[in-house]
Amino acid sequence: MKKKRGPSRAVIGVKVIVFGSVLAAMCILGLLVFLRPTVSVVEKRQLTAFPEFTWEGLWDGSFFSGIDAWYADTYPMREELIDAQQSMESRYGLRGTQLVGGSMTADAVPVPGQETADPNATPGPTPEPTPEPLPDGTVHTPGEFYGSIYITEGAAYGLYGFSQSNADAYVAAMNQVYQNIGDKVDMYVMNVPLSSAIMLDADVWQDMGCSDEGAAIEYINSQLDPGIHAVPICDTLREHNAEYVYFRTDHHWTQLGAYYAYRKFCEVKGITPHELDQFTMREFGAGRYLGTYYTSADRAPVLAMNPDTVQAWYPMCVNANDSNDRDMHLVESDGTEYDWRIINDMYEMTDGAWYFVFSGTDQPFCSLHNPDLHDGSAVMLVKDSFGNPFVPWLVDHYEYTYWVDYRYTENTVSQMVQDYGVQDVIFETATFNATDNMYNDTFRRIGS
Amino acid sequence: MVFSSMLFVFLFLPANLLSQVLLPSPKAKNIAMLIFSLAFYSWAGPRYLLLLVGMVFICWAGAILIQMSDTQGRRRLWLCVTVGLCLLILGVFKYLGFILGNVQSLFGVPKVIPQIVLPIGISFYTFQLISYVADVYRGQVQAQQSYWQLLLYASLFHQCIAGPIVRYKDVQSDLLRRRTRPEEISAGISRFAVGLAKKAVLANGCAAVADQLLLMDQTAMAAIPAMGVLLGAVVFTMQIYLDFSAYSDMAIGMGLMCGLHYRENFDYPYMSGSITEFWRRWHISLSSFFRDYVYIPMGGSRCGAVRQLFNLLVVWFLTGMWHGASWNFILWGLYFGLLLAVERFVLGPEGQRWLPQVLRHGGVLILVTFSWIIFKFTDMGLLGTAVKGLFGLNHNGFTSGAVSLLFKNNLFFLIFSAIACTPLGRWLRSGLRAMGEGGGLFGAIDAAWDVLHPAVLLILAAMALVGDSYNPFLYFQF
Repeated sequence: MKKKRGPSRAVIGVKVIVFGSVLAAMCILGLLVFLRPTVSVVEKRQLTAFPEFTWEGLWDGSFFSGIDAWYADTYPMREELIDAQQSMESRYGLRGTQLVGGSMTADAVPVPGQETADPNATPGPTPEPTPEPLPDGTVHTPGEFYGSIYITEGAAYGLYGFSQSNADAYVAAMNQVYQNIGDKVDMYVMNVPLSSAIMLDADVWQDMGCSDEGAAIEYINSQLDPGIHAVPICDTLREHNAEYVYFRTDHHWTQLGAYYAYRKFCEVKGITPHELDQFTMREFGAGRYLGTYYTSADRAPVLAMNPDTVQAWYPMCVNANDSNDRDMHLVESDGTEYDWRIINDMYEMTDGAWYFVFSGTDQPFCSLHNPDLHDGSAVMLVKDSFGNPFVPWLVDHYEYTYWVDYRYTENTVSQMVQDYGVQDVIFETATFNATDNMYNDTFRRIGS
Repeated sequence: MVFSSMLFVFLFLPANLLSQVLLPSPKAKNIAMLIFSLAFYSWAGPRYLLLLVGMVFICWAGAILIQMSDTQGRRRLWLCVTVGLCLLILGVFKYLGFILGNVQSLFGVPKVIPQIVLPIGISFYTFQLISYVADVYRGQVQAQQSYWQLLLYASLFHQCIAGPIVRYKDVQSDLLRRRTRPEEISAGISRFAVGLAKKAVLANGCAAVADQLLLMDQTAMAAIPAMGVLLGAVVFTMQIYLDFSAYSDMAIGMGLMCGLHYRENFDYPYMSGSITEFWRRWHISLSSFFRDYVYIPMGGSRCGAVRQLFNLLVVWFLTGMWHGASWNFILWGLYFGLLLAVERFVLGPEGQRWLPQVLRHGGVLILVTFSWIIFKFTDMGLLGTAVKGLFGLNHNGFTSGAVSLLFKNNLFFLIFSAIACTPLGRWLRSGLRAMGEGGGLFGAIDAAWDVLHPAVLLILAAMALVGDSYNPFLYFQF
């Protein structure tokens, strides 16, 4: 019988040297602490820090698991290794169309006027056609699935799941705010949908099992106190969905999307909006901005090939040409106060952070005094991050504009309305926040 | 610490291998290996180390007392005391909460159920120590006089926390005087690299797909259509094999690199033509433990049919229990016990041969895939929802766009993972080696493959591990 042969001694020797060299090189690389990154620009987060030693942590193992996490999270060349991995994963299957993350779980959205939700209900009335229809930018083609992020034609779309109980809690909080601030103040509620509700064909998101976000907004608006002015913006945004109203790689709308919402607000309020060409526009991070979806979708290469550009319009009441001019004031969570730029063109930012140019980002309190008006008019925008590009459109209509991020402020709306003597209160809330239990307590607190 | 972590692969392992290369004597190597093993085990918290050290002491002393006893009665007494203590400790840490929880649901007492954290690997090292004590009792091995040697056997980081369940008699001589041969080092490098990549790339990749379909929320699970549940079950079937066999590959590979020889723990179980064969190929060290230390001592197959059936169900009840303190694991064990009983008493060898081979293989795959659904869900309500979903009884349709997309997005990866569950790669490798024996082009390709594949797999695994937050070994919970 022929004896089974293995590799020769020479081959074994070379194999041990090659494997040992790679192992040793990776080991030495890991020991070069000074090469370890501390921040991930792409993931927009501080990387795991080396754990602080405590005897308790040593005993329960958390100190060691912290070292494990630190070692892996800050390994030198992590970005390059992750990019290589994502490049490999992009070849795992047919990925012209992708879905990332978990499946959608949602309640049926009740039809306004009906007590219980009817899953077979027909869609609401079709909006009246505009005299001159705008180009239709609805995406009909199937896309990529990244869990709860759907990717198609180089753009990512968050998928929305409705929750009846959370929506009702949100509505109750809004109605409570209205009861507290009294009828001397006009209150507006504007829920902002995700791009999937505006840009995708209904068949696509229905097939992914996600909720009808437009219907969810209709439901919320139908439950608001009749004294509250609802600002329904879905149809307006859909009319303009051939334009750049949502980012491809980020979950936010663009400032252009916020502009069309502003026009709808003006229509509801009964004032004349300013035209877009009256403002000065500047581009930031042109062709380099990779937003939150890029990170959430595991750095999908198709998104990296379609980066965004942030277009920012300066309010007419500020000096767009003097980047040293501080036109607004902000207060951070720790109480630190700054004079700031409403369009932050003072500093270069990293490529993943260009959305931060708007309105001082997410702060507990910000304000701007319009030097061109002297009528004492004041508005307060209670908002989340979707409100940031909305603020610059608003400030030209009021002498005083205040904006607070409901996630960070510790004050109640009624107290702030009283303190600042505002006449208009606008609630801007992303619908996925309005119907998420994460903010139930927050809305209840600020509405009390 | 887990094998598939950056810290382990690129710091702990190189340091350990370096110590084994540089230290001159077996004794020095063993001291270093013990220190590394204790450090590895302590990584989850030194408090668990005390338990391990204490259990080893019980078994070390118990085995010596068994060997010193001059009557069979005393030998049996010490065996019972030692094994009983081990099982008691295992029972308290692993099953007390489960038992009290069931008692509480039936009788309303006790009011408070103690929350006992399961020490990592306790099921593995307890069974190793029991096998050692039983083998001493049977006279198959001499009691180890050195406590530290026995501690090294039980705590060896290669296999301490997720198997394979190594018998003392299999590594006894290696621990005393081991030598490493170049061929074994080469085989160990390949085996470790294959295992690491199998875990980091394939098993974790399968988990990412399966976790989107087999959900841990009742409402969400009920929303998955039948094809989604089926796809999830098939992918989980691949995941659990790739995950667990990868750990054994790495353990065997590291052992070979250090001159320690562990038995095979998996032999392509999804190629089996019967459930009996499946359990000869799946987690071999566990099934052989139950065979040698429970089933055969109970009479095994050398008794009447009723007694055989009883023995079979007891063994599979215990096998289920070993996997976890939860009813689904018991159900899973009894499910296999029942299938094995049907094969033995109803079909018989002739009945099984009567079926065409393709049907036998297909049947085994279907039955095993279904078993992993039982295995997956510790919540019985969730398990019921998943099983109903599998048969389309959740009234949510046959499939959905999301399921189709998920499948298409991972099509090539899933095909590759399925192939990795078969011996095709091994056959191709053997073919290449045979063709390369005469030298020439195939000889060069064979040599290049042999030299390069571990390094390439190591880099691929590093790529997957750096950005991957999902990394636990499934069998850590046992």
